[in-house]
Amino acid sequence: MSCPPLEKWAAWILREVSPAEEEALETHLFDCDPCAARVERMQTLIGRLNNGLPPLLTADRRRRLEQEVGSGILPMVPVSPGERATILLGPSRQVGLWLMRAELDGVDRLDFEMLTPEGGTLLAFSDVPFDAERGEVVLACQLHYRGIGPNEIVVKMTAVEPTGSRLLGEYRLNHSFTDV
Amino acid sequence: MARGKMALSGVKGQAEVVGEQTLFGRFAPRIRLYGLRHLGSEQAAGDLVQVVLMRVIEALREGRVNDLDNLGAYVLGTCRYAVFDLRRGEKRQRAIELESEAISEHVLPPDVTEGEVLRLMGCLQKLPERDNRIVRMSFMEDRSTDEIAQRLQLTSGNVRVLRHRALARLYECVERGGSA
Repeated sequence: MSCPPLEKWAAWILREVSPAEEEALETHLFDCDPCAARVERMQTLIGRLNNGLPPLLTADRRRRLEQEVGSGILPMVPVSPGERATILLGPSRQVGLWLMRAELDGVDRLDFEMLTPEGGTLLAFSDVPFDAERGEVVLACQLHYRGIGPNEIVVKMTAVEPTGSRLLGEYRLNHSFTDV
Repeated sequence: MARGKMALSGVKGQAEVVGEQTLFGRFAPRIRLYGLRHLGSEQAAGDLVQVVLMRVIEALREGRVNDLDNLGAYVLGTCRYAVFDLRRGEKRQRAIELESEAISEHVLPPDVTEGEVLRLMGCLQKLPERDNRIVRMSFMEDRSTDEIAQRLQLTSGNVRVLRHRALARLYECVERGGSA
């Protein structure tokens, strides 16, 4: 068997191959050093996607994070459209939540953009999770994202509707850092 | 010196030919991958590594491995039997845990660095929009394949194939250091 393409190994890791393919892939895995190294790195990548804290949280992920960290300890900063707010992060506060409030009744799809104050795009995701019941989009702010852009960022959220796009809000999120 | 290394230092015969470094360095990561794939948890995969390596070492010590050039096939066969054993119930699992305490070598990947997180987010951002949505929905929003298929108006089979390809693209971007 020649070295299988990467997507085959991804399928194997996700248990989405037939039994015959599984047997052939596993035989190759134990025989081919370069493929073993690639599969290990693919497994690490999938593990990071699965286990890392994503930037935008579903209601369920938020609940789990609050349970893990403790909702009394986890910094949570509500911010409404047009407002500017500040969150404080540091070694003892490595994760914080921006609770971006918006009128989300009837919204089916919400697009998210993170910009520099000058308007340069840092991150843009379409169809992101939101909590319609609470009227919130939750952005997890992590100390290790510090290098991704300036301390102050602008977030724009847009509802995508059959008739077009509607701006839900623009938020100025300022990050301040402490040594403790 | 780790207990595992001490245990291996007494191995004679075939084991000396193969060498401790070959066994640990070459096969421990593959056994872990096999364990993650078939047992579903890091802890069980770690147990599998210990059990399989001990069994292979014993076989080498007793000269039971017929073809040293094809050691990978022997290790894979040992993995299959060990997984079968591990699935045979709580009592058996406890016995294997005790057996595996003979070796305490660490096989887990190192912690994620800030640079790795930034590279992953950057590469995710560079994926085509549909791939980006499939990866985020699958791994960061815990949505089922059927839900994603409905959301994106695809079949579940399509979603699986697109997910494998998207992971391959993401992997290649991360391997290139984040360049598209």
